[in-house]
Amino acid sequence: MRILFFCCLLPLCASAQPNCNVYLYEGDTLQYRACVLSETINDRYYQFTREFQMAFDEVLAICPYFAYAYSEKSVAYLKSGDFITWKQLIDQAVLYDAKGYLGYRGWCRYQFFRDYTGAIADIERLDSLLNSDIGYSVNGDYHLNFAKALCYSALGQKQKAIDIMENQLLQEGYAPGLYDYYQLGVTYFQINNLEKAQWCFEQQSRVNELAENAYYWAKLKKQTGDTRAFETIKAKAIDLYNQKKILNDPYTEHLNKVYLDEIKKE
Amino acid sequence: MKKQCIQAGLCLVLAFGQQACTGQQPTKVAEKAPEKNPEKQDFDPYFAETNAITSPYGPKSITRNTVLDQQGNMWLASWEGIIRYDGHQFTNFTNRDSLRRFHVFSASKDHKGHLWFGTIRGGVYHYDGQKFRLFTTADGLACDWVESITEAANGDIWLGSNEGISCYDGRTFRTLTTDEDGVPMHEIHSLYRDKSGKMWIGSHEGVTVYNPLNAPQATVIKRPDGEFFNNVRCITEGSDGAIWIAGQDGLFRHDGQKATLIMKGFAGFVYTDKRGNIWVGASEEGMPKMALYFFQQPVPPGETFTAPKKVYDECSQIFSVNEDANGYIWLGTDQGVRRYDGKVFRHFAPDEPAYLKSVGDTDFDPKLDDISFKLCYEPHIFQYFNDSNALEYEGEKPAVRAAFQQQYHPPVNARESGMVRIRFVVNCQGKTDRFRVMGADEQYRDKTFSTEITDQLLAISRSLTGWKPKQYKGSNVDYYQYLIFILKDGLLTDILP
Repeated sequence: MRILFFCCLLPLCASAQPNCNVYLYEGDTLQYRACVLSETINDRYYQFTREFQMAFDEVLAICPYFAYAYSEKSVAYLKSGDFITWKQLIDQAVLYDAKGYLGYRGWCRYQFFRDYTGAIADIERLDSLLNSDIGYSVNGDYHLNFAKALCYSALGQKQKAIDIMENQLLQEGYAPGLYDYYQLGVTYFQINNLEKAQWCFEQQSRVNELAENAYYWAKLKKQTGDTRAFETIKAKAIDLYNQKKILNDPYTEHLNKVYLDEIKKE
Repeated sequence: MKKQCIQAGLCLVLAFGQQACTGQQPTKVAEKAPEKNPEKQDFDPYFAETNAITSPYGPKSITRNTVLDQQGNMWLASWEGIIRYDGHQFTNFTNRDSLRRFHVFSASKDHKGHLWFGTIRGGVYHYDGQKFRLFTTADGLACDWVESITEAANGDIWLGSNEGISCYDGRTFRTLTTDEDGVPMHEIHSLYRDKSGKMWIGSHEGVTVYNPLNAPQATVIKRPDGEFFNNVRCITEGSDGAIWIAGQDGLFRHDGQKATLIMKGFAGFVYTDKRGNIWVGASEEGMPKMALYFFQQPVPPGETFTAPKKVYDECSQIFSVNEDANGYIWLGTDQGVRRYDGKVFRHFAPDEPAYLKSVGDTDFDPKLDDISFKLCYEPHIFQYFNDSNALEYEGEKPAVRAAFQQQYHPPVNARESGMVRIRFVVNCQGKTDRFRVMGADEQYRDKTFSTEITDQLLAISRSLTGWKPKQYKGSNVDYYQYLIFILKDGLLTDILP
């Protein structure tokens, strides 16, 4: 089984800088000019600065429907928690390039605002527009189908979440992500399917050792009355936590995130 | 033949209370969209088209009026359409919601907080905070050219148009008449309701006072020389109850008995701010260019008003004056809007964007912040995620969550849903201040939550003392942190980040 690892955390830009030649090829000279102008902005200015915003305003002055510029402008608002301005800007990006930005908007709705229904709607709409794979979250943590499943799980639709995750894992050529088996295992655990949950925790342990995975595994052992295994795996969870082998997100927190104090109190 | 309305501003002030409209038979408002007259062009060829929906820049063309909504946003009635400034950027709602392409002239707010926008030949828009609804002559409006809008004491909306006054009671429009109501039926430039409930009507040919208690006996007010006023652009009330009248003949002050000429020349707009100061957009006699004048309050003992002081004369036309929630004075001009903070006039034109130095910068506000709160490296304040460690608190996120779980009590009468963000600064010692609150509904639209909710969240946020200082190059630094509260029916369901 191939395992997909990301060697480093991807920076949270809205999306990669487009290939400007695509617009030239399509005969869209406005977008081409805007695209070329935008190529060096991220290198020159930090996203939060006035200069960054103004530089992309110049881009939009050339082409008011260049979606990438709206999405880039939106990022600082997202990161500062200004959900109103972020949404106004990212909606513009989606308006002008739905296929390009629905997945990103949907992921952000989940990651930053726990807007599960909004995220599901965006991801499902993206799915309806594409005949190909819908891709990954912008930080690479999850395939968007997994992200959708997490939303269903958070909304209490556990079996639906499991079906989506299982289906994604069965996709030909799909390389399980860093946290896929953990999230699937937790969801099985939540519906008390301990056998499946244990299998998932074992898989996760092989793919990517996590304190949270060990914590749930320990809980499972406790629930099945295996006190010795519980103590051993709980100790392992604490050790992994201290090694910072944890669910990490530099901006927010993962669904089913577990903290050290919770592990110790188990 | 109908005169064309030109020149400067009009006055829009809200008034609430009890009053009734009388007049001719009402016209029931159509439930469906009004049919368009094929003989009429459905757009103004001189509408100032802009592509952008959101922009850091304000309009570049004529901005006739402004109105402040209940959330503190400033709305502009401009030649580029209906535009909102939310403190960060300008949003063109005419573009966003595909409204009719007609110049927007008047703007007003009713007691529900709903906004009204009158256009030149395009009818009037009502905005309930969610969607716009258009009213035109097909609905019973006297004329699609609406220069002034004011709420009467009984909640009826009076709309001053090129063909008299329409009165809207929430269901039907009625046109007030000279015979039955004593009011003029020609070009109405200004409507104002004074504190006693009387409606002051400024028209092209004079000033009429409509007292609902004496209707239909309206009173005509005359100039000191006994003549009728000409081209009355704006009427307002001073803090002492005197009525100020601006128009072609200059600026007048009516003390309840008689009018006195205060300034010669053309006066386009007169406005009373919260402190009672009088602001006037006027031009000296024979001069085409206008300036902003200011009558400071309180006046010295024994005087009724101070001498006017010229404050600003760098734009050609001043159409309106308004005060925002921060006490800043906004001018509607021939080249967009300008905002005056007591020292500097800021022009939101392309050469001066509406951006802060850094997105989300929170400056010290003596009304909100603790003057003893010190920053180590001001003005640079980091963001909480700059070190890739997200939220850092003693006891981690569960400790933050526990504080709110233990102390937040869902209000019984505020079952509101959406998001509240509280953003603040953690200084290099781990202390906090500069707390600011933002709210949105579940569709990410501006929302002001009940203070029963936000006061609690703010108080608990302020009480958190476990914030860890963040480091840069080995030194503790100041940083911005925020907490987003997800609310469902008043219940706190999650906390981010």
